[in-house]
Amino acid sequence: MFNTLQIWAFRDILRRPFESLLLAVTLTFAIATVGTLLLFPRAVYDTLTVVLKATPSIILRQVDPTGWRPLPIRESVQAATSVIGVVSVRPRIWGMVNGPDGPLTVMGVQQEGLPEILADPLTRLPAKGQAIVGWGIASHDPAGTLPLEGAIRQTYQVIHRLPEQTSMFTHDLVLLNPLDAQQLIGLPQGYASDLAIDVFHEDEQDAILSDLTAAFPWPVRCVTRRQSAGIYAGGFNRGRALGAITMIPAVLAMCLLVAVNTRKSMGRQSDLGIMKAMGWTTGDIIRLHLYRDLFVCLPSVALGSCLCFFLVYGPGADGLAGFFLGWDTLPPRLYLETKGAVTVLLEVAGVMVAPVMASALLPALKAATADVHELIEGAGRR
Amino acid sequence: MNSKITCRNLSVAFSGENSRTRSVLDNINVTFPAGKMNIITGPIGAGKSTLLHTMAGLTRPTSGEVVVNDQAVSRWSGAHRDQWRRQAGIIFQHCHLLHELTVLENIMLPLIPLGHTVSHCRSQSIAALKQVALFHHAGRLANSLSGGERQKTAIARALVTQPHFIFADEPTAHMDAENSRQMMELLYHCTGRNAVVIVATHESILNRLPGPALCYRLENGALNHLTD
Repeated sequence: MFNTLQIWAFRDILRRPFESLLLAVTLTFAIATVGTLLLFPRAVYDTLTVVLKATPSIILRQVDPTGWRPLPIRESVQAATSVIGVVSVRPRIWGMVNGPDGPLTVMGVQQEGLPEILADPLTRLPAKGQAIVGWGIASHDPAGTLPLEGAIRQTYQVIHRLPEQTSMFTHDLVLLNPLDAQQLIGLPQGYASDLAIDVFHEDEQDAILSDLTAAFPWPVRCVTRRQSAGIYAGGFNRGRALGAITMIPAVLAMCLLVAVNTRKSMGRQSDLGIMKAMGWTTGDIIRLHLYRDLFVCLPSVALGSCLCFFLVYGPGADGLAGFFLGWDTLPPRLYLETKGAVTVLLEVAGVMVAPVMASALLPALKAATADVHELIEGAGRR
Repeated sequence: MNSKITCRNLSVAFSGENSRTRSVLDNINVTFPAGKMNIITGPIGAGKSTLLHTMAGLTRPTSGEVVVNDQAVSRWSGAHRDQWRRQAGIIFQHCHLLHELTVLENIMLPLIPLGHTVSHCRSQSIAALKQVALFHHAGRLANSLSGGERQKTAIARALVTQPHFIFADEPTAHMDAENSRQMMELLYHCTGRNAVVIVATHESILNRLPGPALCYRLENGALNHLTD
């Protein structure tokens, strides 16, 4: 399985067990730290991209000086569909209410106009008095009921829980019958919270806004999908700043590690000279160094990557989201975009491992051109 | 195969203080035949070690060449000289053992890159250790050995690959008379398998040699044949 040179390299590691262990542990944590800091924003970005793709092109609300107010469904749909370029208009009933553990988002759903994200995970729709809840909503009642308080106080029977991987934004979502939702939020009959509008082409989102605004006899505010992406991206600035600060010690630790490794290897030039005098070729010495470093670095890369994966996509994501984004109530579920995640992990492994490998190989390469006699002279009297 | 090593117009000079060059070996012409003990003597600082190191491919001559079996090995490129050193067993004056390695591992060192299995390397090394009567020290670290034991280890390391060319620099300097005789006998034994054995040593050892030898004296950069 292993050749003699590989066994010799492994024996070499065991000759300095604490030094090798320290290198492995430092490398593991450096890879985990830097990997997490790079992978987490990537995962959030990927998740947002997926989620936003499923959202409507434009969300339209009626506003007045006090804020937003409900839209009359019939007139609003008529006005929106009169604009050229609008493909579909879907009135939405939703709002914030108080749940047992804090604020929750309530949404009225019916078969017609069901959001794309919910089309697959929903096996049935809630009837009157029933609720379908997101993964993050805990039910404290063994009977499976959920008390909610909005314009009225009402308890609903939980009939289904959305799967964990549904979407990052369905964790705190409660799906109700549209009539129940209207009552709970306090919407008048025939009114909706906003309009979800889809346009023919992605690029028309911004161009169509002025026509859309002009089509309504009351003041409205439109938010396009692109604007939504910008709003969410702004929320990650805190995460980026914290990430940059956290990365400093990891990078410093790496620099120290590389400096120590280089110094240590350069100090053993005389040993290389003796090995060459004993018949080792430059290729043999480089292979020995390569094997020795790979035996330490490969497990560190594997372990560091697993740790990083666990923190971003596993249970560790709760803590990370709280730390970077301030999500301290409900845990998010991030999308794993395999190609992107693997690229980030390979980049991290390359950036962290390459200097360590180079610091070990440099003396071997230097010894390749040096006179063996001169290398041994450095050994002095032994 | 009847090997021989020849120095043709071999000169080595080192740059000293104030950029002055100091000539150590000056136009040496000599052939060391196989199957015979070749002894080089001379005063301290005469250049015995330099001559051995140059022939063994550890350093390049300033001019002239080292020819082995009609091949000018001193002119070879670095990679080819690496291969040449595999045919040579070198015993350094200061032993140059690797301190972090055990005695057995030091002796295994020349065998590792040759592609043998670990068990083969180990059994060969143990046999070499037994030849120098150091088997009971196999597991000790090299830096815990006495001067004489280090020299014995260095001798075993040089002989473990059964090289065709053996360059020994003061191989018995730190040994008593009995151990010195045993080690010289071991080197004589190598001439029996037609190896070229070249030993640099002090003149005092000449009258205690256990067999016939070709003797040379190196002085003022010149190598003179003394006697058979």
